[in-house]
Amino acid sequence: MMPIVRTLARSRSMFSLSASVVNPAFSSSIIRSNYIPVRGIKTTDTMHPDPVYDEDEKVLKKVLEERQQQCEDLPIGMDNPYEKPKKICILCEHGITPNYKNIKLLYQFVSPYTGMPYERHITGLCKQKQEQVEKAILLAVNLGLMSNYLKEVEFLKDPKLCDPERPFRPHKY
Amino acid sequence: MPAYEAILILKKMARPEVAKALKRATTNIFNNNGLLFGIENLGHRALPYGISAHGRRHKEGSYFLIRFDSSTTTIEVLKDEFRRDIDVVRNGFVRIRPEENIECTLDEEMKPPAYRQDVKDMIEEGRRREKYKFQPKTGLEYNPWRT
Repeated sequence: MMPIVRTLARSRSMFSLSASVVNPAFSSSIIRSNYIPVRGIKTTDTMHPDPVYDEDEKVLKKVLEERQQQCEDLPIGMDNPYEKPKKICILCEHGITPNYKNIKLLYQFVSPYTGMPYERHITGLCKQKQEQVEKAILLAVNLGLMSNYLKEVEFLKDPKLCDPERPFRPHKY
Repeated sequence: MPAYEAILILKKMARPEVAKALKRATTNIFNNNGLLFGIENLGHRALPYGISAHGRRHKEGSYFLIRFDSSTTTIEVLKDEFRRDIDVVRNGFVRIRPEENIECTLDEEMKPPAYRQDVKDMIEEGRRREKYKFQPKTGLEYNPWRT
């Protein structure tokens, strides 16, 4: 037992000298480390809003329903009556799946100036529908059904779905 | 057998020759154990962009849609046949799959970034990475590497 105790004492003294360059993984009570965490320091004063958690509202509703059974004078647990209807993109609203043969529909999402498909912030489609539209346009162009550098003249007067001047989300252009 | 649609663009030809070219295409499908469902004429119109095929530049063509079922291996054979046919300007095959029901996620995407689920997940992932510490698992009370 004796030799082991001596070696431990020696190693302890060695580490106390070089405490400033110690590995944070080994920060224990034996070693006094001077390691300062860099990432956890707050560098700005900006306060970000607390996100509204849907789970809290559900929990509240449950609690109120339980208490309602005990005492009749409490607020009733019900859905938010002022909740706005959920926004749906135009293709999901009408239940349309873009097809590579339906070039009239695909041209509505194409710019009349460049012939390129508009991005999601201008078309206002959800992620999956935008992907479907882009894939269909690519397929149509490769098969020789649709043009890749302009919008055909016969489709220029079609109803406008995308307005680059008034996008759904701000853009840098 | 999976369902396919073949788009065929034939060069500007007289009617009997167009019929001959289509007959050639359909016999190819039959010979390779395919089930033909129908041919649709999408009309003779100007091509959206000039296409060069078999030493000629084409500006107009006849579009045809062939609906058929065949095994996946015969598509390669058909592609090869169309490639060698002089009357064919462009050919392409599309696999027809059943449509999937998608739930619109536009409402979630239009929220400000602090309220979006994917942004929350990203922040959590970032926090998880910061907290990661190397676990030496040597079983010793001291640091054998002296760092």
